[in-house]
Amino acid sequence: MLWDRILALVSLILGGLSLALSTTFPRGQGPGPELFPSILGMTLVMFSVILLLNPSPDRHEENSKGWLSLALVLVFFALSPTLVTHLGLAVAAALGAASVSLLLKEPLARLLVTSLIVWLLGQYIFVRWLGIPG
Amino acid sequence: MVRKAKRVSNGHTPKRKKVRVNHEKAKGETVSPVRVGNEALAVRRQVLRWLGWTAATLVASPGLAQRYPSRPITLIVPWAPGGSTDLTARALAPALEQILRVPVNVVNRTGGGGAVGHAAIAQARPDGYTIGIITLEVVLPPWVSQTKITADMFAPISLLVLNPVSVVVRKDAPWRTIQEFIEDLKRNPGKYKASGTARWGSYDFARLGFLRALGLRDESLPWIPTQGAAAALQELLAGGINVAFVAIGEAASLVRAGEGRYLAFMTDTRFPAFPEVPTLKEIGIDWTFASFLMAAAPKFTLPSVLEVLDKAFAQAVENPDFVRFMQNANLVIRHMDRKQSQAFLLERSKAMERIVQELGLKF
Amino acid sequence: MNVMLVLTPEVFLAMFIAGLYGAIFGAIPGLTATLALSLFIPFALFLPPEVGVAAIISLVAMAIFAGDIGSVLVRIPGTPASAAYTEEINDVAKEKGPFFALGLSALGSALGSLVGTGLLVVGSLGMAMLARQFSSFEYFWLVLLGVTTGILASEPFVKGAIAFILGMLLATIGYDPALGYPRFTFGNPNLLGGINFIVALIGLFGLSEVFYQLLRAKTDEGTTSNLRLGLVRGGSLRTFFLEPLLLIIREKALFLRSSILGTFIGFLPGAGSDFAAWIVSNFARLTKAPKELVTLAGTSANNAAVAGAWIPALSLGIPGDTLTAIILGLFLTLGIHPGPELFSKNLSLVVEMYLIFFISSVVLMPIIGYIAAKVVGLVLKLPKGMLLSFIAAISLIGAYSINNNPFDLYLLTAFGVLGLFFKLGNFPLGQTVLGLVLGPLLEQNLMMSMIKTHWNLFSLFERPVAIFLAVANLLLVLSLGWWKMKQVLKVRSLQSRTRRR
Repeated sequence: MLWDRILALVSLILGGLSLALSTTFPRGQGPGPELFPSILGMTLVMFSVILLLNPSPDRHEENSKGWLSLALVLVFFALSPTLVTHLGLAVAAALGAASVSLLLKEPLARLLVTSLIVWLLGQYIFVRWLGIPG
Repeated sequence: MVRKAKRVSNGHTPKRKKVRVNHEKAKGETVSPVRVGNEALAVRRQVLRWLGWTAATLVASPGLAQRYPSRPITLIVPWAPGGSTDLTARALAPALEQILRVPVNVVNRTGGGGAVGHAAIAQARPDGYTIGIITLEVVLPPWVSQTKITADMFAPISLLVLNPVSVVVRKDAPWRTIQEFIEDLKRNPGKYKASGTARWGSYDFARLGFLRALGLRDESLPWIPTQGAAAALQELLAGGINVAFVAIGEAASLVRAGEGRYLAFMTDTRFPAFPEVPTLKEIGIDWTFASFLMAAAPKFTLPSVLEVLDKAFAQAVENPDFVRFMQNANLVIRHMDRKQSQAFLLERSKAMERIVQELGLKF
Repeated sequence: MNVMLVLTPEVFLAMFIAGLYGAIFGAIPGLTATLALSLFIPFALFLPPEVGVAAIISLVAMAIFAGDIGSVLVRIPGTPASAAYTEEINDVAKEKGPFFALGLSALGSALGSLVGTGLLVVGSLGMAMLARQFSSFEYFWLVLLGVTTGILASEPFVKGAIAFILGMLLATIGYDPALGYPRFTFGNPNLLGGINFIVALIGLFGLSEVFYQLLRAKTDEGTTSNLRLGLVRGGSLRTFFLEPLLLIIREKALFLRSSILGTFIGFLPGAGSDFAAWIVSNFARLTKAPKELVTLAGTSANNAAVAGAWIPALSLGIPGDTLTAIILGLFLTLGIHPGPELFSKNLSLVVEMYLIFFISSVVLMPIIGYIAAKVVGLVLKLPKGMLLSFIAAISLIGAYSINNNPFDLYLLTAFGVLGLFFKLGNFPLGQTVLGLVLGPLLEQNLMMSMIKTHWNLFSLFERPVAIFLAVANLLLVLSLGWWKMKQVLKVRSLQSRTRRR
């Protein structure tokens, strides 16, 4: 119920935004770039309102204790482009695996093994063999 | 580093087996030590090479440019794997490796309609170890104004490939020659439709230049945007458009199959593979157009480095394997040295600007 | 024909190695069949043509099939062609074990590919004639068929529609097809070309799972996790080969329909195997088919489409998708000219290609599929935390290696969050992906048609095949509307009856 409302609100905003922005697009003879986004925006607004008014009943009680770990992993992924550019793909991916393991409270040994496998995979298969710059 | 790699693989054999079972099932476990050995060897070689290079740099850093190149070169391709730019780069890399005696790694940096890769070339460190292949887009005004990437952000090395554009019609089209088509077009402006790529794409400018040379407007032969040459040719066959502007090579198999006809080529001289097809110049229309591939480095790369690369590319495009590959792929090798390439880029930019001004295009 | 000449040990070996290589690329999200093929081309140039062609056919067929492995394993489709039924095949694996799911996928793929090959053999020239009727008008109706089935097949309807439209809206980012104007890029050149579909796929299906599990914070293992496939049943040959085969025999009508439709969509230039899988599996969903059957329909259609894509390539020299485009380029470099003359000049090569299609589907797919099932069984015994860490890392690597563009990692994260929200709100993820695929196609073909005819809407009804497809759309919408109405009425009458009592 709660999530239905939140998502309906988000899509309502997105639909409205695309409707508003599409009026700024240049116009040729007849409809042009603005046609599709405005139709889509309109239908999105319509369906969002329907959902907002009739949210589906809750399935079950959610136990969402992991907001903090989710926020932390999001911080990591938001930083990942910088990490990839500066530390390389293999190291960044290994760090990613390590941070997820850490947040899931995996034992240290497993954490290390996982990160090492990821590093080897990234370094030897992707960077060396496939020539992906990293 | 070597020891570390070994320890990992020995210490956790069960885990490794799980992941690798796919590769090694057929051969059995005896293979793994060999593989580890190879890996270790490769690492050792790498370390040695690196040590050698560092030592050499320390001893003689001022003379760096003279010994260029001394480490692997990255060749950036701004377009996706499988396209003509990518295939050319991959066919060229082995020939370059032979000449420069360092590895040449082809890297696709795609996205943003070519903007990401071109930016990566332009913004690379100008040391000659990151170069790339730039394409026609850098002289197309709409692309330039949207991406803010201009031709003068690059130091041209060598023009490599010119893919001249052709005028293609269906086998049952009413026009036998290009003259007949032009007369019909002048009598009925706006009646026929053309395509070849997206709006403001390369072949759209081939059409615009053609129309400008005839003294016609953009609307005389409207452009139907398609996703590329293959889609445009499909439209041509299905009767959705009347004429296609695509590279000679892209329509070659269609023409050979008897489904389409070339009316004219936008080349300076007749094209060897199809000597019977006239050029536009022959019939008095001063317009040539070709999409091009050009090796380029970031601006401010040392001229001495550019010179080395230019010579290497000049030699590489004459490699028999490369020549055969390009001939069969209907891509036309056209080498120009860096001075000529620079002039060529300038001339093309001006020509495109002139089209935009004279036709009053807005994008 | 000198058939024995074709089947040399070298050819077999090349097919096996290339098939395995293709399967690995196909199974890993972010590594596409296209990438596998273009990395292979330098090697193919050094091989004799008959060996090179054999290797390529086997590589492509296996890569498309192996996309299902990713779906079974971690609910991330390995190739876009598998995205159409990822959730279904993953659920099947959860309920009946990965061996059954992969067996279904391998045998469905193999037999679908066989049907496609059969049609390729008998119909190359005839079907190419039909493909020539397709211009933007016909494509528009065909894509619309995909859109209507997509929206109507979603469950629950309103949420599915929102997810679908959101996907289409996200796909409008970048150059517009009519004027080449960059939409919603906010001056960022990275967005000019639009959002990469595969990055979106990895974010929505892969990363979102990691986020979801982190949020749930269930560290205790063995609970009803989304990833644990229950008990991993012993990998008997019986569950891999016999049970799926019996299912396919029982559902032979559905299977044949899907394969033939898949081949047909595959040979339309530009449509490709992912589109085929979407349309066919949506049809299956519409008829409320159980998950096994949706999987069967999709997996047989995308592999049939692989064979189908060769039809216009061989007979007209027009590639059906990116893969065949690369292959055509390679043929030209090998001195083979596709087109009608291929059948007169290089008939033995054509026959060889048919044979290799046959062998790769009958022999290789089941074998490689079985090996893959074994590996999947082992991987699934890993602890959940490790598996999730691997998924996070592979998502990162995969999303980056599509374009080698760090910016795509921002998109990956954004799609991961979107996927998480959709999971929390019980929105169907697949619909967003479908919108991302079909949205641009629909707009492109509508705009093309309208620019051609100066916004004459009647032009959409002027060509015979277009009329046929338009009527098909109408019938579909009407019959579905009627069917839904009947459902609603039935529910109402049931409710009123219970109330009276």
